[in-house]
Amino acid sequence: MNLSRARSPWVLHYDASSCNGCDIETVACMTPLYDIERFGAISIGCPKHADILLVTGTINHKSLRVLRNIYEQMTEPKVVAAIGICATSGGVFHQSYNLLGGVDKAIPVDVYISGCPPRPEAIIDAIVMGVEKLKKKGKEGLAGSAEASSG
Amino acid sequence: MSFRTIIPFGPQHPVFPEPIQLKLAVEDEKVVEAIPGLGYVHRGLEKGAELNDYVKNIYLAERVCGICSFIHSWTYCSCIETLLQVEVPPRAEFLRLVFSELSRVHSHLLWLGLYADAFGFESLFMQCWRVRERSLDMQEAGGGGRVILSTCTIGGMRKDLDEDMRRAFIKEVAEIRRDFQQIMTPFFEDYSIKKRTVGIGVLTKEDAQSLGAVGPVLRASGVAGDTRLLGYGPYREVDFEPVVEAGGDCHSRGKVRVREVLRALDLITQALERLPEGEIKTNFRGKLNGEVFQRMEQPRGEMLYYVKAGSNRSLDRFRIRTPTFANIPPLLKMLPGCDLADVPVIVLSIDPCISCAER
Amino acid sequence: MNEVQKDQLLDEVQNLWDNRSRFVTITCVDLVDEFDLIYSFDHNMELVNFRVKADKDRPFISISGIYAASFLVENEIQDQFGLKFENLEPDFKGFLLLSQDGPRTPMLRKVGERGKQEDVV
Repeated sequence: MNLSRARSPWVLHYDASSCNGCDIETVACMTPLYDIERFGAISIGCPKHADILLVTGTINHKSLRVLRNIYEQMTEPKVVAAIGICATSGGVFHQSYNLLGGVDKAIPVDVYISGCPPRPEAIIDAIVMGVEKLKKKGKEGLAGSAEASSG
Repeated sequence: MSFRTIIPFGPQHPVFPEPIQLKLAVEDEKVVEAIPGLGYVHRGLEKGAELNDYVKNIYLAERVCGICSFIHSWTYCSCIETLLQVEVPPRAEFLRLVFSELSRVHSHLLWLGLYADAFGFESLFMQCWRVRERSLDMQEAGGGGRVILSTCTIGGMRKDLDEDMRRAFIKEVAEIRRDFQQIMTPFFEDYSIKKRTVGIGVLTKEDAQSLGAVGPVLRASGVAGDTRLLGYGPYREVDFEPVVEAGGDCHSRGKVRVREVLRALDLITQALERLPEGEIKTNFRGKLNGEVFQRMEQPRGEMLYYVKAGSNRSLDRFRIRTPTFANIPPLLKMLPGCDLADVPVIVLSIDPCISCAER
Repeated sequence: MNEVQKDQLLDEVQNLWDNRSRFVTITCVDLVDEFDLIYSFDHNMELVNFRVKADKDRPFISISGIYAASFLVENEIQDQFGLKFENLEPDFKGFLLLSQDGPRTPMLRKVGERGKQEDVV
């Protein structure tokens, strides 16, 4: 089960409040030239199915609640990747009034990718790193549940 | 007896790459009313720009929207150039035209892909994005970035095209045209696409004008409204005619954009062939003074910048009216009366760029 | 740019509607004592602008009865500047773009907000 999860991570993309630059690069990863399906990853729209959440853009007051909702709906184990400099710290918009800062202000983040926007190669790298984390988390989860059942 | 239900559509929805919410009042399967819920991408960029030095704002203006970022920076720079009374060298103006039309090509191809995806034609989505990568490669070669170029600056351009690059660009444009012509026929003729789009989301000519529609949405309703006709920059020197379709439905909006890709490729070739020699940047000095309105045509339609100079090097007011903001009222007009299953296609047909609309 | 009095605004806008102008936008500028509202219309590809002064504490007139499309931008001004509009339909009550737990009327000028820049002459 853990192995198959790592071989086929399902990816969900949410735009928290980005300028679109990172979004289109994220979508570009799914198209023929970059093609993240090589790694078994497909993009889906339902948070309950997803293993990896790609968040682009900073958090604003309105998207905070939506992002937390999505994160809570995802099933364990789950990995969050912050795509782009806005998602890691706020980027060029840091002076704007409606922003809270990086994604880690809202939900725990496992992978950070910088760049404005990051190149598709970097986003693929984020997904691959996310898969490693996913494997680790899956193992820990497995050990935890075994202990629980034996104890 | 049907009763009314409110269905929240979005903000996170598989069809949209960006979050927008529509509260749809539905009777059975028919939409009767739509109320927009915005603000999921609102950053407060206009205020952020007032706190900055005006030169720094180029980078902020580029990041209003990552798709049409070059035209944003061009509009902003041209506002500041008017306030400072700086003359831009003709070569720089032509280069700006090349990159702005390139961003139109990549934006329309992106949209055509998403549009194909919205009615379930995934292979066409992949094909459009495959062709789009070629235009991104051109942007990267000429500007330095795939999406956000940062090559437009106050007084001109940052990077020049050398002669080899110019020839390579002309050749590449011809190849993009060839590739695109191979995949564009379905948008005109395919039976399933027609089934999903003809007569869906109709916007009449009168409604389009009275609700202030802009860009391809306006032109698909039979009005030849295109800000490029104003002849800003080098547009007065190239042969240009706006693309107009009469249907007013989703199919026409698709056709307008397909034909605009070809028109944009044609404009790029014209500009590259007539590229004047000379400098690409003039130095500037002086104080910002007064206020200025500047309109330019984005892939999504007319965009208006208002810049009011403040004391020192900051701006008193920086206002952006983006095309999607103007196209939301027409969208709310198109939705009532359609089937719930057609909502994604209709919403996509205005080419919503939410990060533009909310800034 | 022409200046139009507040009580002539609706007549002026009605004239523009009658000669089939397209509504472009309203720009609000905070002049500290009052607001400057700049209305922009497009008439045969030409930009028609005029200016109206608005008091800060009194509700202003909405033109959404004539140009329905203006509701979005009027709601936006209500959000950002706290200038209320009468007969606005639909009225988002200042929450079109902003959230309940976010800042209110963020575009209003505050004294000394530019900090360092204002010290440099």
